[in-house]
Amino acid sequence: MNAQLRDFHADTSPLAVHGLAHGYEGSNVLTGVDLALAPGSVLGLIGRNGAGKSTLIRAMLGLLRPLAGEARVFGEPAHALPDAAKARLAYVPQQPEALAWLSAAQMLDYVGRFYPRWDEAFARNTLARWSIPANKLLAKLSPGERQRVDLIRALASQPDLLLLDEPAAALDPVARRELLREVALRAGEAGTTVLFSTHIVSDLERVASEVAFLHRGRLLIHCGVDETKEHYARLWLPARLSAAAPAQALSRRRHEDGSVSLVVERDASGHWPEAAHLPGARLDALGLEDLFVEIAE
Amino acid sequence: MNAATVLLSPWRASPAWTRWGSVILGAGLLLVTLLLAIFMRPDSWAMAAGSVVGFGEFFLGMFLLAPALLLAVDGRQLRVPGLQRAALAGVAWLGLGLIMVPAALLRLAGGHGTVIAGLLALALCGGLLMGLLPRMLSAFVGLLPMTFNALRPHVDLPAPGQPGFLTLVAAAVASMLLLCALCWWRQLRAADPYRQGWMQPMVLQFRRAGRAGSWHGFAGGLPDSAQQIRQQPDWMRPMIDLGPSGPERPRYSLRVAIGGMFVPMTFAGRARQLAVAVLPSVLVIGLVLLQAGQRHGGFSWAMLTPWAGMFAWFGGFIGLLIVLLAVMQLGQRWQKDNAELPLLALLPGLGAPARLRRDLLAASLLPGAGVQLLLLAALAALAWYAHMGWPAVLAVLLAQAIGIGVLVAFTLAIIGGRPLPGWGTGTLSVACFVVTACGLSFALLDRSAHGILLLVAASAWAVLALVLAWLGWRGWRGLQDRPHPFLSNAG
Repeated sequence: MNAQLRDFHADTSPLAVHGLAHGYEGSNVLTGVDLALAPGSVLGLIGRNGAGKSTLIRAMLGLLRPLAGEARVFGEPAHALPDAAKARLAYVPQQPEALAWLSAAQMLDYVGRFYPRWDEAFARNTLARWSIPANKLLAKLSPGERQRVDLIRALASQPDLLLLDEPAAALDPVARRELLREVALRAGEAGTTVLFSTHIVSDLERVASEVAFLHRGRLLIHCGVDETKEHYARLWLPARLSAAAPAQALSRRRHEDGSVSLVVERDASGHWPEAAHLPGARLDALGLEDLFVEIAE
Repeated sequence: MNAATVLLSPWRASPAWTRWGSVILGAGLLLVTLLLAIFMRPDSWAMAAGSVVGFGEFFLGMFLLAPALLLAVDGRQLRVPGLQRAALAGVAWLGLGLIMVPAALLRLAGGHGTVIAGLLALALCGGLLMGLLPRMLSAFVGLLPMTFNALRPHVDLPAPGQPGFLTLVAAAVASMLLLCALCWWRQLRAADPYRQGWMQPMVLQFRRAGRAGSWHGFAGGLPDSAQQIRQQPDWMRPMIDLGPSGPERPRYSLRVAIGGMFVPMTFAGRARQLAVAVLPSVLVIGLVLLQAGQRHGGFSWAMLTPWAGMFAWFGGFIGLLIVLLAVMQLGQRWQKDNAELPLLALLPGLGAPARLRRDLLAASLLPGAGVQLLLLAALAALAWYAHMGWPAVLAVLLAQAIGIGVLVAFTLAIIGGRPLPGWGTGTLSVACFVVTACGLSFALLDRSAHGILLLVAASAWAVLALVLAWLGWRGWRGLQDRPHPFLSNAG
């Protein structure tokens, strides 16, 4: 169930998927995902390991054939992107391993030849600023260095749409901070639309304007980061009121004493479920991390 | 830890494939020994059987005893008390048993027990050393018997049974054991004893290869390009020529992105690669020619004629090996969804889908096909020069044709997203090797045409060609069906 499901604006959204479903060897990884990014937004995609984040990103870009649904990038079908759309798009996979036989400088030189807006000075300067040996083969770089080279590759193409799959996973705190600054800068000044997946809620809070929470292949939440506290809360009901628990909840947990905890959301008119107003019921505001843990646990 | 556990520790420490390979080898040796006992003269079979067992013991030393080092390394890394000592004691006792038991049995059968024990010790220690030496050096151990034979006329080396032979064996065994001890000690104390590389012992490769459960497992068990580069010293780094890559030259650019055997190199880079690949063969050919020259009292080109069959055999075999390695690399590329595939799928300027498919096929097929055609030309010239007869020439040509067929069929299957399942790929690869090897062997050993043999060979070639055609057609249709060719085959 999507809390604040955005309409599917396939024509205007830089990146949109509708009814996306995928699975491996009989198990569902994605189940009917609808998601559209607003131009210039920074969407943080959050979810536990195996929630389907990487699969969703790959399906969005046409890097796999979903079992059902469609994905569009700049209004074009994702699996048949024209060069003009590709030139406006950059993607950094989780633990990138491409072109290990080239040095960092060679890789950037090679890839840069294909992008009309390639910023060679940015690539050269950032490589130096991040202290990455330009002539060392990519295969011999550490995972963190490798990830940073790929981030430089993505950013130097000056994309309008940037997709980063767990970009901070192999980075130290300083490099992570620099990356987030760069992402915020791109979104703020150049209007780049960004989607990044992460486990690190603090990263998301620092740069994301929107959050999407993927759980067991379903998109449970998609809303503004600042809206989460106002829209979602934990409702605790004592045992005697447990029968009054609303049927619609993002998560539901029964305690040993018979009491019940639920993550609930406001309805379309901005009201909490009726059970929240019963005497003895308690409604707790949730921070983003608490919300994540409550639902994912 | 009791004695049985200690004795069995090398058996338990070795990966399943080397363990069962050793059992099969042991059974084969027993069979050959029995055949020798039946068909040879009673006074000479024991010595011949000793040589056969020695041949096998070399491999037992490498595949059964040397992996105990892995157990010792694990024991040291995990701080398990007594495990290092058990691994070492297991090697010593099992090694002693592998020498003493066959030697005693052959002595009972009338052989010279001490000489046979010396030969077996030499072979077993050679195998153990081969497994423990850095990979860069271990190949030279395999050349020792040939070097020994080449040196024999120049240096007065005693033959088995002659005075001084046992002293020589004792000195050689002691030297090899000393080297083994040094290698063992060095690996145990290495900062990262599991790191793969040319300076690391060959046994480290066994565990990796042991992870092969299927073709993909087999391909996955082999190091990918990144791992290979990490293992190489800096002077071996690929010298890639990016020169004309870019949207104007998509085919060239695709070769850069596919990497491995397909990547365009500078002239110096290609020359160095060839030198590294060809140098060991030149060494072996040099030793062979040296021995032949000694027998004929000097070198002449005519001496090459008797060896033409062997060169043709190896040429055909190596051609197929190169092709299989090339498609294995391609298979690895199409397994990873975080490497070249997403980069290529989203790279602008590679052209419209139909042209992209054509360019990708050309980039994947032409380098391998070029090598095959070069080999074909060389082998055809050799066959013509050596007057091999038409069955041999046909076998040589068909071997190269199978190589090209394998390249095309497997490439289409991989890029088209329809690779065979593991067992299918393994079976087909083995069938290609068997048909090529048998065809070449029959045609080159016996150059007269026998009706029934030709019929069997022709049938085998035809079946193989049909299977490859089916695989290629299936892949081609898959490629047409894919929205773009850069979809991972991993799922």
